[in-house]
Amino acid sequence: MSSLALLLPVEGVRITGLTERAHPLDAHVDGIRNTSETAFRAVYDVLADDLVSFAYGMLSDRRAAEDVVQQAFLELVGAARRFKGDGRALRAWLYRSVRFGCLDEYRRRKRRPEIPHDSVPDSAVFEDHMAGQFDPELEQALESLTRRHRTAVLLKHVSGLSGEEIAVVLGTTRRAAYAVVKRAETNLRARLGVSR
Amino acid sequence: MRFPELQALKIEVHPDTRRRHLDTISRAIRSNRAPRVRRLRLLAVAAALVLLLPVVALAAKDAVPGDFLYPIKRLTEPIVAAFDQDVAAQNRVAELESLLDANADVDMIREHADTARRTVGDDPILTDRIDRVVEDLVEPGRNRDPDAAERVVPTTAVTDDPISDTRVETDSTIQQRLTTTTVEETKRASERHSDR
Repeated sequence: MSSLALLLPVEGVRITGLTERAHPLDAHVDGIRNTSETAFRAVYDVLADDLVSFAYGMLSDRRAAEDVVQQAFLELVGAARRFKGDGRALRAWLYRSVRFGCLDEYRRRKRRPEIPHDSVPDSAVFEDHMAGQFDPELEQALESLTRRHRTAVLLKHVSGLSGEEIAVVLGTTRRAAYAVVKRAETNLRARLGVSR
Repeated sequence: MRFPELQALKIEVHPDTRRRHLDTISRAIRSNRAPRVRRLRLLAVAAALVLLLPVVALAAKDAVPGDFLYPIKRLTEPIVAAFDQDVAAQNRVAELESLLDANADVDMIREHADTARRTVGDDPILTDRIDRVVEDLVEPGRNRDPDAAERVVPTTAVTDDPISDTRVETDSTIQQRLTTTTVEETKRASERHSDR
């Protein structure tokens, strides 16, 4: 999903809160628009870990999560010249792109079920780094949530996004986003309480 | 509501993966930029050609065989010929006369005379001009008009002549007519008027 539509505020979404405060990525926005390699590297360095963590929580598969994040940056390369907004909008754009990438991955898995990357023997380079990081009980609890709830809870508790940013990523109003986060937290707490 | 369990999902991108991602992004940026740069270069060259063509064509207007710009003159001639059918024939004859006046190489003049004859076809006036040049090669000076360089306007002769008072021509039309005639022709005309 490389469409600029990702950037545009969905009707009813207040994104003024995203543009009022300075953001560390503000300094790189012009460079991103000019497709400067330096700016892309800087933004990758700032956001890659958070984005991969979010995607990892969504997909329970580290390799797939990294691929989705890389794809989001490649889509940003294509859409960079049309990008409008500040550093916060850029971060929301990337999270939203990663979210759509994860949804595509879900659809792909449904069409063609396969063994997750993490469960097959990997190269020596990645094996130690990837092994046994995802708690099965936590994975089960997250799996029990709807995708929207899972997205909301991960954006808040793993990525640390604000209510406004979560609203932009989910493509909804801030009030609706708060409601989604609240329900997701309640459901996750209930699931984790049962399993522990 | 706090979820310390979710902190386990925070992971870092492996350095090798980071390097691989950044390389891929850099390649994408370069390949994304290349067609745009090529397109701009092509447009710049096309614009330069469009702007330069009339200037070069104008500069080549008086070129004769052997000149650097002569091929350009021949190349642009079909464009001019679209508006003026005889331009090529007139150009060839004018070039031939210029070569003769410039004391160019005899072989070159003869060669160009052949070219001019082919271009002129059966136009009697232009053919006659070509014949004069060729004859001049055999007998130098035979067809040269000694007064050609000093085609003057005998304004006083006409205005002092009482006959001129009876003519209805204005000064400007007289001047226009006289500029195309030699001194002898003017004298002959004056004599004819006085005979009447």
